[in-house]
Amino acid sequence: CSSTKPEDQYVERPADQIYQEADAAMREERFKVAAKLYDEVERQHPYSEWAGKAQIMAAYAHYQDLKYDDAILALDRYIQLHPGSPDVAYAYYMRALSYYEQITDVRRDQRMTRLALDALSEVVRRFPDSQYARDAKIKIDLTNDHLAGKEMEVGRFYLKQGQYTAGIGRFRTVIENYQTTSHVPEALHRLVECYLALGITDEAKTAAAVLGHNFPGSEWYTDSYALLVDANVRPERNEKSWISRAWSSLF
Amino acid sequence: QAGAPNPGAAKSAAFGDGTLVAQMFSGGTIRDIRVVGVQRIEPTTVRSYLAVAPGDPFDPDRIDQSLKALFNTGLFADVVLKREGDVLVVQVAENPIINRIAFEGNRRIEKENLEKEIQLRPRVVYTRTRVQSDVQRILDIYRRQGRFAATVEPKIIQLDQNRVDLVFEINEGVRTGVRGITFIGNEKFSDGTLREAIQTRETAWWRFMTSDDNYDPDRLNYDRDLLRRYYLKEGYADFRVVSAVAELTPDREDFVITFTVDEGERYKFGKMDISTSLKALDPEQLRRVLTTREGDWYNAQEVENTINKLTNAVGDLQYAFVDVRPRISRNREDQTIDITYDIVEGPRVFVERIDVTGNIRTLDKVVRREMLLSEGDPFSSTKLRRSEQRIKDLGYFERVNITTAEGSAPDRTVMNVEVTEQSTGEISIGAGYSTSDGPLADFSIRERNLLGRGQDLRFGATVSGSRQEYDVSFTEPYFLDRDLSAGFDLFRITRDYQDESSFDEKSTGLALRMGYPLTENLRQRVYYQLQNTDITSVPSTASRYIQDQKGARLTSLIGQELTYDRRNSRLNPTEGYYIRLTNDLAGLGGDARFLRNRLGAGYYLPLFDESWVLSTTGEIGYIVGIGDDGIALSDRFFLGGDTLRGFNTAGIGPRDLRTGDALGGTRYYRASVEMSFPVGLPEEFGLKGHAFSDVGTLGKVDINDPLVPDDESVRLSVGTGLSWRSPFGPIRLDFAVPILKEDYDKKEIFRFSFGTRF
Amino acid sequence: CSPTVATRGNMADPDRIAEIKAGQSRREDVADILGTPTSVGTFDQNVWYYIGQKTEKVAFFQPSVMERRVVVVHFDDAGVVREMKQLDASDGQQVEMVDRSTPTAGRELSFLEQMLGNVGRFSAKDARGRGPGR
Repeated sequence: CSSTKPEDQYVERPADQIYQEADAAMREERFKVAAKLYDEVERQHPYSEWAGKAQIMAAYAHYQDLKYDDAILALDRYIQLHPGSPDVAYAYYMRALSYYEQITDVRRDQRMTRLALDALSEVVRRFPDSQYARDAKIKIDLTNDHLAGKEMEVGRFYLKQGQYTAGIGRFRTVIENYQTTSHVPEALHRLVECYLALGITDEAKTAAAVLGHNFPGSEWYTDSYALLVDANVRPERNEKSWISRAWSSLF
Repeated sequence: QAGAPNPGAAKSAAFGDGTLVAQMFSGGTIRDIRVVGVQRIEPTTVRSYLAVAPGDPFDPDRIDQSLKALFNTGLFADVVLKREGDVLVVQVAENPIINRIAFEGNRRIEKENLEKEIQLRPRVVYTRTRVQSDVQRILDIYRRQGRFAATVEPKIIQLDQNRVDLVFEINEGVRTGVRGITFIGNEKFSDGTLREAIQTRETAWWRFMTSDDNYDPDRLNYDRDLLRRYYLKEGYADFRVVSAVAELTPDREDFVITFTVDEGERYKFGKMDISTSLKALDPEQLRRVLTTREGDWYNAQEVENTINKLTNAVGDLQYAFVDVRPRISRNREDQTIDITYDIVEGPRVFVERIDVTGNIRTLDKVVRREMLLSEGDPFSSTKLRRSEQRIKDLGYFERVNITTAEGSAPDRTVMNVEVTEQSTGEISIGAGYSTSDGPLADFSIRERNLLGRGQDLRFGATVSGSRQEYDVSFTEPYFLDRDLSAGFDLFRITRDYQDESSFDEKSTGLALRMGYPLTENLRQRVYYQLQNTDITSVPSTASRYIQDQKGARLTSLIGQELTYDRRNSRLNPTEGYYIRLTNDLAGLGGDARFLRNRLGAGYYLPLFDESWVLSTTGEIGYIVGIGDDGIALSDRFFLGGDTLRGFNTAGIGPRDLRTGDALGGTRYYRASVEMSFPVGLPEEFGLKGHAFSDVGTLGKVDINDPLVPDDESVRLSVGTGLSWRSPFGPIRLDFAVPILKEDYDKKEIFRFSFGTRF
Repeated sequence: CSPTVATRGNMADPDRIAEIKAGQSRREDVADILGTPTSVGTFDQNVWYYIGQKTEKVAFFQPSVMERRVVVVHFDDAGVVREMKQLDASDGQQVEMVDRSTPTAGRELSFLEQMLGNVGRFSAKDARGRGPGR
């Protein structure tokens, strides 16, 4: 005998009553229950004016419950069914947030970062003057900064192994494609390090000059200056002991 | 009034006679657009898909375009565009919404798996095309399980408010097996050998574990390829599979598969030659790499190996862009094949960028440091393949796939290393029995890719009748980001030697270790070990020499181990050899002061195409005290049990005849010759027979006492055994009879051990 | 014990370098002979670099550079080779890499998430709207 799970019971109830119940659940932050109830509204009354609102509220419940995949699924369906509705801007925005909040740290796969970037750019493209666009623009800069961080991470990996050609490639990608990010000063300094190690001093000098001109106060410029001009100008050189370096490399 | 298309059928945009429609829609501007028939979808949504808007002229193409757009949304069962005066009327019939999806008749596959596979979901729009594609998906799942006779019928139950319930009625049909596999035209090899060469098996009850025994057309093509490779390996260069036919048996339950082959003549290798267009490369230098010699039987596999070896050899001489192409010329009269290996300069391509994707948990550098190529390097396909193998050997990934695509310039390529992670955490609980230790249980938690950093952390506990062992071990394979593996172990081992030498040994300690490669196959490990060993519960009846060893001793030693390993696998080697030298120096503090050296070697020889393996292993060791003190009991060597079959653990060597306690020795050698062979059952059973002979001796215990024999005479035993890789775990039975022995030695004829992991 | 030798980057072949004539060869000729440059001047498109090195790695020590060849090709604005220079390992300086790195956001996977393996499914409840990945 198959036991029907509670919410499978097909209880016919008026749309607004289920909707109120769902709103109550949302207020009490019982997101899973709220999401199910909103779905129920849409299932029992697909043609009532509640259906559209319920769909986007269900997605919001999933989002609050940090169930990003379900939220994105619900939002995609809402966008397909109601491309003209006033709430569609919010749907695009929440979809972008759902990707954005799954971004992992730079040393791991950046698939989520790229998806977030696309979703955020779509918000800015479709609704340029909405208040969502303003927040999306800020998040786009942060996401680009994150992608630049990934390039730097790989660049440093090669530099540490003495593979200067590989390092130069990565640091130049940061300078060319991510000029507005916070990693440019470090990228310029790393170029100084790579070119000096290869003996191409004039390239190192130009990179340091650009660094000094654009980011005079930056610590990286002091490092480059020390490498190129004289060493003792470098801020207190924290000569970490061999043991502490070994320990930090382990954990 | 255009002919009204029948409702419910998603129709293509044509309205029968195209011309009539065209004038109706031309001329005048659209004053307004009225949307009729919508229930769930807002009119604004419908208007947003139209290619025309109020104020545009009536233009047939744009209207036709709007029609197509509305159909493509999949939201509408039917769309009709009409003109009333200068108002464009859009009349639509919405596709129903699915309320619930149910499956009937699915005994073999549960509802959840089916639901995961299909696209339709409750609350999604029902369209005929989507239902058909879901039916096909369900059929594919059953086909993969070998049920080709399955049928799926979608049923619709209309509900109010234009909603439907969707029911898939499934009739699974019976599993189509393979009743027989026959070969026609094969004189040189029997049907049995060829059946062993292909993957499809005949249906048999004991093949419940595999699905290879049910019919699968894709696998049939793969079998054709396996047959071709088998014959090419045996030298039949002209071999062809004429046909591979699968007919359904009259009762439509199984298939009979018939392969018709044309074997052709067997070829030998003719002249071998190497030619090269690279300037400073001397072909003679590479001749030693050739594994194919004139007069041998032709073997396509060997040609493949030679190409790889040549490419590697030239690659090691720092030629970056190299292609080795075999020029094969076949002379049919004397059935020989001449091969010239042309070494030509390949395309000069550089690696522009390497991206690692799919590493959700593992750090980028853990994968990247295994790559033999780095960005900017000359591209080499052998290095790519070797890198892929190195990443696979990490054991963190289910699938590793390196693809290349053209970069920003024709001579630059971008490599994408795509990995799919698998869970690297292992919780294994084992149980076993061995005659020496009695019932045995072991439990271990291990994470081989800790925090995605590639580090290995393991907690283990083994509890058995005579041994309790607890240990913690941690290893970082790339310490300080160098090719240097470092780690530590903490251990606590209590051993009960009561019936061998009437004492218990409790030892707790820690070890710090580091390992690094000296060359491709030579690896060195250096370690420091601090261990406190306590000899306790020595009964008063024990031998005097055991009594005076009571109490705790601290051993603090450093050691090194050099291993030269050319075996094809560490788990069960069937080819190659290894040599291992270990030296331990105790005396940096602690009570023990000794120098202990051990030298071990093993040689594995595959016979009769790898089904038989002759393995000979040997080891010698001696320990010598520094300064005046002798060697304590817990530092001495013991021989017997696993190390010398036919004798009990610590069954040979110096013994106090008064009490029968074994006293161990400071010098030993042992050797074993073993032939393992199949027992006639098919390979997939994992059952192997063994015939072996062990020889060895142990002695020189610096006790001159007439009742403590220390004559280091040779002990020899001969025996047979059976090992089975059963689905529950490895099982091993050994019978060994000592031939040369001393009367005071302790024999052990039968050994049995079984271990399982789950 | 033979160390592992590796060729990194684009070791320009001396005979090919000889084919390039200052004042005569143009950008396309250089690209045909030596291939796409390993890197171009960061802020000056008229200088091309071909960088290659042969390194030798013994046991766990850092790979040491056996031989390095850096070919610097300067073009004039018309795209003709103005001057060519070659550098080798001796020109290189021993550079100590700075240990710091620019901080990046992104959620560091908690220990529990790591061990249980289903990462990215659940994350901190309280974080909302801060940096990427909260």
